[in-house]
Amino acid sequence: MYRLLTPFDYFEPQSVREAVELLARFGHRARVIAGGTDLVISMKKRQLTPECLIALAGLEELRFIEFDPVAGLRLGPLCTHAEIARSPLVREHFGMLATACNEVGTPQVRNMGTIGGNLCKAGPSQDTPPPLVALEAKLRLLGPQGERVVPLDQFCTGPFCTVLSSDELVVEILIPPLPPGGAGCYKWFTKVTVTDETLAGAGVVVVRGPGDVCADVRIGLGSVAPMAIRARKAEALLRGNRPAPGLVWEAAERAAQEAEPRSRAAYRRHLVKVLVNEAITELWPLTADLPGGLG
Amino acid sequence: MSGEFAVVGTRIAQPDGPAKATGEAVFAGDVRLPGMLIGKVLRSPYANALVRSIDISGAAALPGVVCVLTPDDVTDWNTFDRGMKDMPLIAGGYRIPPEEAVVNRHPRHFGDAVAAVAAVSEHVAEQALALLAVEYEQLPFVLDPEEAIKPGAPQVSPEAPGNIGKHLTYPFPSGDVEQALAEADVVVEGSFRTPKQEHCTQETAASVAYVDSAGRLNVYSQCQLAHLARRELAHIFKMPVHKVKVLTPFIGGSFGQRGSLCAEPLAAALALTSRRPVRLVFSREDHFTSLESRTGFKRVTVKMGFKRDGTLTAIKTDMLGFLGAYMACGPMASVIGMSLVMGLYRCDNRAGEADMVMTNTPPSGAMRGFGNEVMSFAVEQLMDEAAERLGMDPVELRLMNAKHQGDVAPFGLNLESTYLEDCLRLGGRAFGWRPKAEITSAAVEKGVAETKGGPRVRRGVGMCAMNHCSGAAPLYLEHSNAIVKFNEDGSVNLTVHPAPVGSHIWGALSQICAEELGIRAEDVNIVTGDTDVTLFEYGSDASRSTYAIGGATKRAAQQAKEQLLAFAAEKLDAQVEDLEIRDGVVYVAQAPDRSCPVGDLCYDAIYSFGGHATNFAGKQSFEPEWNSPIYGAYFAEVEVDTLTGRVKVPRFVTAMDCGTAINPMSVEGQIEGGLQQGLGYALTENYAIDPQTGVVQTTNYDSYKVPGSMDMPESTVLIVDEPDPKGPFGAKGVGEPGMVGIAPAIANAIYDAVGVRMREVPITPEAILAALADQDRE
Ligand SMILES: Cc1cc2nc3c(=O)[nH]c(=O)nc-3n(C[C@H](O)[C@H](O)[C@H](O)COP(=O)(O)OP(=O)(O)OC[C@H]3O[C@@H](n4cnc5c(N)ncnc54)[C@H](O)[C@@H]3O)c2cc1C
Repeated sequence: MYRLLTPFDYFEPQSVREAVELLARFGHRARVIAGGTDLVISMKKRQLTPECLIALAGLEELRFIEFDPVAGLRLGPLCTHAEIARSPLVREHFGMLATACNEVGTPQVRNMGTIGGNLCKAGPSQDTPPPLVALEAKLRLLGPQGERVVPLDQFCTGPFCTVLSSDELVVEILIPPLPPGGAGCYKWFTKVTVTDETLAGAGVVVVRGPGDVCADVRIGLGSVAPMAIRARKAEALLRGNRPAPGLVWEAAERAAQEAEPRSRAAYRRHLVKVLVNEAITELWPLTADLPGGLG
Repeated sequence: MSGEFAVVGTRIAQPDGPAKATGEAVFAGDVRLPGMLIGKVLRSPYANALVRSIDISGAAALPGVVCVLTPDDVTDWNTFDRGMKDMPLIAGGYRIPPEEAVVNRHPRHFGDAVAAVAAVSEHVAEQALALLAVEYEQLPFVLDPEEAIKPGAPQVSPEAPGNIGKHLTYPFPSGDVEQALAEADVVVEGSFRTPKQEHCTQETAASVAYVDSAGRLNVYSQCQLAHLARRELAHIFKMPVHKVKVLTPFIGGSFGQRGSLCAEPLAAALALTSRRPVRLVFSREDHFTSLESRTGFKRVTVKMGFKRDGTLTAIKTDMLGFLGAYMACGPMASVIGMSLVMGLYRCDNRAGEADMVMTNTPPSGAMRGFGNEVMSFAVEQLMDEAAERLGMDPVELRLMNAKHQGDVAPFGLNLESTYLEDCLRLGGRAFGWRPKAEITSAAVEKGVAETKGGPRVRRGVGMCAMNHCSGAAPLYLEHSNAIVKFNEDGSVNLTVHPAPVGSHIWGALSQICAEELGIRAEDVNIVTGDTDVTLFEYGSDASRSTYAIGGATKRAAQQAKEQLLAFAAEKLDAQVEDLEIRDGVVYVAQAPDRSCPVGDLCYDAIYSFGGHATNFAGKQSFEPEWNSPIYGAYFAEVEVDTLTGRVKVPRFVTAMDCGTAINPMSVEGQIEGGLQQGLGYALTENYAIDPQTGVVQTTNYDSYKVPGSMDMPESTVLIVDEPDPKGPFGAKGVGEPGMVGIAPAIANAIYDAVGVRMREVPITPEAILAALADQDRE
């Protein structure tokens, strides 16, 4: 049931430092708001009733997209899905992330919703985590005690739960560059309608090594477990081998077994199989003569 | 065809367009009155329960709460039937028991109203609801119609022994259907299942009510049938009808749901109790849990017999529908569906029966199609199956069995006009019917993994035919009125009371009026929306507004015109027969120099000092005795992904015999809107109730999925613009038909693509995969 918002105080900090100070001051009674596309719904449903909101929207220092061949991509958490989807840097180096961001909701949601909010919401069906776990992204967190860097696959601890403490902010998302011969893509299937929530998503990276074998493969699955997961057993089947159709299908089936969906479980597992098989089959030929990585 | 008309057939902009575009238009939820309170409703969390007690002390003590209504407070008022209608003669003139109270001591379904509050703000009202302490006694309940008719099942209503709300038979039986089936060369049969569908109106139900200093109850109501709402509200609150005034603001969609009372009784009850204006706006959740949705059918079994040459000889139907906890409008979905679809083709032997069963679920009612979509889903798939068995093309089979002018129409009347053949031929040509052989889908070409033997994505085409009615004569009351008054500048005021639900009705009526009078559509002012001002109007349902209110309008305009021309004849020294009006000027035939602007004539008649003062005006009551069936043909192309089961509909063609298209743009809008709603019915909308608890699980758009613009096919709408002899300027009704043929055409296309018959809507990817797996096993 969606209801009127309950009253709250509203702060517009002028710097990240000030935002962190406010968080430290109000602790659990406060929430930061980025685009608000998730938070406001949680508030209307009374799942959250923060007494004060700390708005990040004015903090330009959290809105950047930079690429360095050695360090990789650095993303400010305040970048919207639309900004990421149309960024030439992201499209050139990590097209799979651009694809995922372009898949989020509708144009209105993509213009408002941020990647930081997407990751911090930590819902099982969020679209950016599957490609980002496959890309082995890391998050830089800032709190009153200082900074720490957490790999994304250790950031989520359960559905809607993260290691973020109530006085910490995500201030940066780091994506290391892909090794030469690496390519990635994001495949998804929506629940019912075209712009619907994702029923199953797979972010897959394949790296071709010497001898035309799979030097590395990383499979990130979304919407089929309490949080985005890596299908490590499926990856192991492929690593060091030539991805012949039979083996790819076997790995896809293994990935489906690694999924632990709750509702529509049999069908979601089936989709994992279809998506993973499709992704690897499509990616492998692309890795043949790649000078550098292509996400 | 419309070449002979000046205004009819033109694509005019809607008179209410600017008000809607600028936000000036007032909808029920926009109404603001001094001292207005906000109402909120407490709804039962149980499928069947008794309210033992309600402790209101906490809520009543909350500052800002002005009134709390519990079942104890409404006992002086009458119970009611929210469907309000006088029941059709044809179905035995049955009566719907008035079982519902404003708030109920015995809530019979999840979401039934048990209490209400009015407070100074939405916040306070919401807090007050939370403070109401209700003690319920839970009662056994039954949700499934098949369970409900078993002996010993919990009784939903004392008025429905054995939970059979109503047993109905097909009103136009003929021949001996059993014998005809026994003698048929080919018999096809199937059992189908169709769900509830929520109307998903853009604006939620809302009402504002107040009692004025004269003691009259004023109610802003979205009801499609404003005068019936006035009568029913007067009945509920035991007031004379003249003490109730119903005001119709703009209405943000209805699709049949506002054909019943929605927020009005509660808003009025709170206003009468608090003696303050009260605004009550339903939430989307209120819609799903308490308003009527499309009548669902657990089982529709149809058997059809054919001669080897394709002649349809027999059709037999057996329906099991679920009404929910109140009967309302639901039962007639069976009779209407049977009548329309079993009357679509020539067929000598017909019989049908329906059990409409009460269950502890939110009520069922009328929604666009009103049963036609259910029976079409069954019969039009069986027609397809028969065509295959007979070795005929599906279009040919329909052409050969199509009715002709002069045959008996679906509701037993003379069929005045049908252009189904044109629809089938034009639609087929535009679609490129039978492109099946050349599979050239882009999706097929890029199909990644090929499944055994064929491409992963398979393309298919399917079609179906349809007829619907323009109004529901002789089943329901058909009574419309119009007043046409000339102003002294030659413009007119047209006083009518249709429901402005977004179907361009103001525009259509102004075109009909203007055409009759020889003036411009923009010179017709619509006066409407107040039962004190308008004459009785049955209202806007059953695709009847343009047809029936348009009929009254044309007649009233004609009457006013006669007065004007008599006056003009004297002025111009001519015979009335020699006069004609064009572009607002009265001309004498063969003497173009003798003319006079309509405005001058009106002015002279009004500001007359010669003892002949008059204001030209016509007033006509109209009760159509026909329902001019509308015909249509639908063509769908689908792509079925055999790996995921997903169905895409890239292309759809609809050809409609809607009589004269008063405004082709409005006709196209209705048909394309119907396509979107039909697509949801066919593929995405899945109204879900927890079988363990009776709790409605789909209560908003995050779980109930309506197709969006990205889901829409490329759509082509063809209008067969041939006049009907009965409708105003040859028009028929076109509100409902758009959605009716979508699901059967898609289901037939799916069969063409992958060879499985889908007998249940919505057709989900899982159901497709299961059917494909069954096919593999065979
Ligand atoms: C109609 C609709 C469709 C949607 N479709 C999709 C979809 O297809 N795929 C998808 O993945 N999502 C979808 N979403 C969800 C949502 O839009 C996204 O998750 C979006 O990225 C959230 O970002 P935001 O900036 O709006 O987050 P907010 O709502 O502002 O915040 C979400 C949460 O993150 C916290 N937070 C935000 N930024 C930070 C930060 N820098 N540091 C610490 N905490 C932070 C907030 O406190 C809050 O708890 C949809 C939402 C809607 C309304």
